[in-house]
Amino acid sequence: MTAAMLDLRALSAAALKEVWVIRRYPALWAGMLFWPVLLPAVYVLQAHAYAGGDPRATAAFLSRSGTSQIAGFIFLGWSVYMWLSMALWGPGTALRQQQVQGQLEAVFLTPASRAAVLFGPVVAYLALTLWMLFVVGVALRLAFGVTLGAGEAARALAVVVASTPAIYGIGALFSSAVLRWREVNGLVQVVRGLFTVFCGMTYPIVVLPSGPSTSPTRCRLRTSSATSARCSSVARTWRRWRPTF
Amino acid sequence: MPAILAVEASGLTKVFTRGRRTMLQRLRRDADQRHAHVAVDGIDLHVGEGEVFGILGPNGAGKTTTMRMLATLLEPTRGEARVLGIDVRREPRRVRARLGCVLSGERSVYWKLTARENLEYFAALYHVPRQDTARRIARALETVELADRADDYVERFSMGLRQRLVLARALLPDPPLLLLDEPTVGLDPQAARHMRERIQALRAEGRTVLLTTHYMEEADQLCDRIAIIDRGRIAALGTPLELKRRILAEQVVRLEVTVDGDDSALINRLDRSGQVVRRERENRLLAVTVHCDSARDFVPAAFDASRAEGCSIRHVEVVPVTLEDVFIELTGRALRE
Repeated sequence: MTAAMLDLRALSAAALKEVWVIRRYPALWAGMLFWPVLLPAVYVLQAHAYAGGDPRATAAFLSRSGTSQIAGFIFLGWSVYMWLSMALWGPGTALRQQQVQGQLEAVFLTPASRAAVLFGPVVAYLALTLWMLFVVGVALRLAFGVTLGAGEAARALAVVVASTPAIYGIGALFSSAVLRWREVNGLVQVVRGLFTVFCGMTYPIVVLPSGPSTSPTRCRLRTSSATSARCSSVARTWRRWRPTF
Repeated sequence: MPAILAVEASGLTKVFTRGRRTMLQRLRRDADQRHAHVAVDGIDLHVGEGEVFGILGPNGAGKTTTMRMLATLLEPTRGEARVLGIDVRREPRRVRARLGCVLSGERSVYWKLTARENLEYFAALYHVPRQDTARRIARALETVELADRADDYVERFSMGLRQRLVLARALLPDPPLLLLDEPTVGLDPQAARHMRERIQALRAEGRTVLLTTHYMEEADQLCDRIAIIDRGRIAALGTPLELKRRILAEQVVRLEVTVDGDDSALINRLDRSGQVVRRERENRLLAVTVHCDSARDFVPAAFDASRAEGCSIRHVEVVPVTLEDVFIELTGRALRE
């Protein structure tokens, strides 16, 4: 077996171990039924309250965002935010948890690559992400009448997959910080807050007349929204997405 | 000592920085109060294949730091170390692949997994061949007598069972050398006895065991050779018998005497009949440890001395020379101080 294959096996074992652990917390899966629906729903209802059913408000939203689907726009933003939360802080949090509980040292006593041990849990959390996206899709359809077709879902998935290396790269930086300085919770909270406010993921500041300048995350958000709201071709998606790289 | 060395260390040193320097202190440009602390100070170790070698010393003596350097978890500040002929600095992953370690105790396993799931995970990390994994796990579980609890969640295990699982994990790579850091600490007497029996069985299988302990009886019972370590340095090294022979006495007498006022006259009298190696005074109670050739002769003399000085002996204990006495002789302190 080559070293790369051994590391791949270690990575899959780390992912499987995380799945085994998550399996022991059914409340986590149940929580994923509520939060992805409840949190964005507050913003959607708030938007409706502000607009007061005025068609001019919807028209203004359409002209700035490219879609009239307010619910779809906000829900997708939240989905991206939740996925980012898992991808960016997930590996570092998992490492810190193992460090506090005492298992990390035992893992480091093995000849396995540390990168394999680091990213294994992230793979497991992808399963949770898919579950969350499924819940959001169902909620959009049943509660707000927004239908995501297979084509839109595939395009949105492609965007997520394309952004994965960059996002996990940033996640690896946080993980390294955890190993170096042990407690980086404060830093994580600050960066998380900045993402939330300035990247327009959880609240549509992206459509404000004088919103903050373009950031990679905003690009992805816009692209996700656009692809899913049936207003974009693959070429247009790529043009919008390109600044992220 | 056998010709092939399982562990070879020379001038092994680890220096830590003690104290802290907060962000506020940096901003205020306060003087740096941190200082260097030498945890391990130029240790030389030569452990032969098939040996059970013990590092005995009190807490903070540098035992665990030494083990961590040999296990590649800490990089030595100075000196060299080779484990199974492999340099720990240059090829740490090769060293880890051939080592079994019990370093961080029973908390180092995943409580939300079963014993078998824990071992399956670590088997993959130890690069145990896939076709060999089930057999190795079964054998490791049998060795530590956990086969019947293999599919129970670890959170339901007692501390002793979890420590057994940690040992099973260390056996997964079928290591020729095991590093065991305080393997019986925190265990109840029965679990500790079982652990010691398992260590003896590992020796019988031909494995080398390097263990640390601050239990002198454990070191005496298990180890072929012992290094007594204090303040980062090896104070003495030899077989348990060789170390005990350093005490020029056949027996040790421990007395507890009630004394009013000064105790120096009594100590002088006792010192004439034996060798007072340790005295501790707490209010009126004086505890004295004396080395002597014959307790049969010393004890009546001690009662005479006590009576003559107006003191009364409350308790007399006659024991054979132990490694604790060797440690006291070498350092002037008890192991548990």
